[in-house]
Amino acid sequence: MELSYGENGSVLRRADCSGTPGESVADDAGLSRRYVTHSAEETAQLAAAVAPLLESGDMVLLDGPLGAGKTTFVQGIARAMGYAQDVTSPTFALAHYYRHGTGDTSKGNRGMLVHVDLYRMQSPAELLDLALDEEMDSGAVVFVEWGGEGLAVLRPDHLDVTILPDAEYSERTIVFSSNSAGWQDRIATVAGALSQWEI
Amino acid sequence: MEANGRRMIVLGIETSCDETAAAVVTGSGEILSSVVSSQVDLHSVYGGVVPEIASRAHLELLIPVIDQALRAGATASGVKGATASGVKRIAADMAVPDVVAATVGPGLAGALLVGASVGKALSLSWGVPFVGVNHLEGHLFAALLDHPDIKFPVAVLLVSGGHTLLMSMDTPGNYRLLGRTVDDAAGEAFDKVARYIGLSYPGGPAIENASRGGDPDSIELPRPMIEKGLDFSFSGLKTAVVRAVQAHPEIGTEDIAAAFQKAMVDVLCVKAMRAVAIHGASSVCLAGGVAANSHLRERLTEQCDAIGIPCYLPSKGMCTDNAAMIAAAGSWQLEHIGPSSLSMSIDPSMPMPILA
Repeated sequence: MELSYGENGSVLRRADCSGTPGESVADDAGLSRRYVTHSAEETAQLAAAVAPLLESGDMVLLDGPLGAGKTTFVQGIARAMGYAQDVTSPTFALAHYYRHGTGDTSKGNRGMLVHVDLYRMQSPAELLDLALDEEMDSGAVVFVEWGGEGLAVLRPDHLDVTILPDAEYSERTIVFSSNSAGWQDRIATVAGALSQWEI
Repeated sequence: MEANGRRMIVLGIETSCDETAAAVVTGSGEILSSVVSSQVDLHSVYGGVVPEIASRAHLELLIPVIDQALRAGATASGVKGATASGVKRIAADMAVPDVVAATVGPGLAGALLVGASVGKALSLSWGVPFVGVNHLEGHLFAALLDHPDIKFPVAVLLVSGGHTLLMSMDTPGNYRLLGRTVDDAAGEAFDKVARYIGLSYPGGPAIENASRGGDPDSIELPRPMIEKGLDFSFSGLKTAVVRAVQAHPEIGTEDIAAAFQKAMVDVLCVKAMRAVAIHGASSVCLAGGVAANSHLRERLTEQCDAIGIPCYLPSKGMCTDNAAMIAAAGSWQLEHIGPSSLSMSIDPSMPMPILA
């Protein structure tokens, strides 16, 4: 597996916590859709609207500066997927795992949600230790905060969700983008539910 | 508690996050030795805990740290012929601990594995019981080590990098969860805000130091969820700092640090005192790394004094992760619940053992 090294030897970080997220969120081909939300609750609702699209083995990379609402987005996803547990920031633990019911793993990780936060990580070796590709191969849906470009190789057909707050942090522009035509088709099926936030 | 007619000796091992720690504690809560080999210097370069480095450093440091704790513990115990005992030579004399207790969660998976595996291996080779300890419960026993005469039920405010919990400890082993963070932990907010405003890691001491020269009223920050309930939310406070810094780049780091710290301490104190009022606690106790914050210690003490209940503050050594608290929790657990299986696995997201 190859991981790209960024400036200053920083491997995985796309949007530095003190800086602004990458500007080119839209790829030449594939999906690029923009929405605007006006509160944390709306961000969670928008996330809930795309939750039905998630399939086993999907990877979603969440990008955006400190306080953008990345964890809020995952909270909306988890609620819509019916997980009873509270979704809190996984910064300390690196990854939080959500399962339905009694944690029966006899069917692999199908139905499991993994919420990863690589804010504290600097090296690709550590990433390999988390074995995210194995989690996805066995059926988990994985959301990654502070993942950076290096992670894209794990799932070239992943979905990018970029959350850009305005200067007052009162409005968030949320961009869905992907190189995958599959994601373009999938997002199209919930266009109606998302239309209220469309710009 | 006695073992074979003498004091029970417990070896505690803690490797859940930054610290590689080992301690020797008696069954009655006397700390014979407590060695903490802080890895903070290694991590300060990165502005956060670097997991891979954490596991590797634990691997390198743990055996020497245990060795030192056993030697110091043997010396302190005054057991004749035990002065030269250490992990390498312990089979040659009689000062083998009666039980080995190690943290098995929550924490970083790789780091937990190092401590738990070494603990199990020592237990197996010495032929003594192994006890897997919950790190969070360990923090509660830190309070008991500092204050053996604590007045129950005690409302415990556990605030660290990974956790923000309000609990009632009705007696040891009997806990009720009263409130918790719905997003970021208090210590995490300290770390993230510190990094954002260009201060060093760990963020708690950096913000406290910077705040001394600052005006806490220089910027207006929210007190999230302060009006009601016992849950916490610090994500919005973190975002408010980011917003304030972007809107007013001219405001100094010291002022931002002071304003953030005041907002944080306001919320923590209000919630702790509300827990006392709602649940009728007889005392308040601070635990976890954020309990080292002087501002929080002073303010909470004032508020407890005002209603005439004791406020138990952990000693500086008991705030941060240490193995004496793990040994103390392990000792209690062995006596009241029994030993753990050597096949017990670690659990990075192990919840607090709440008894319904």
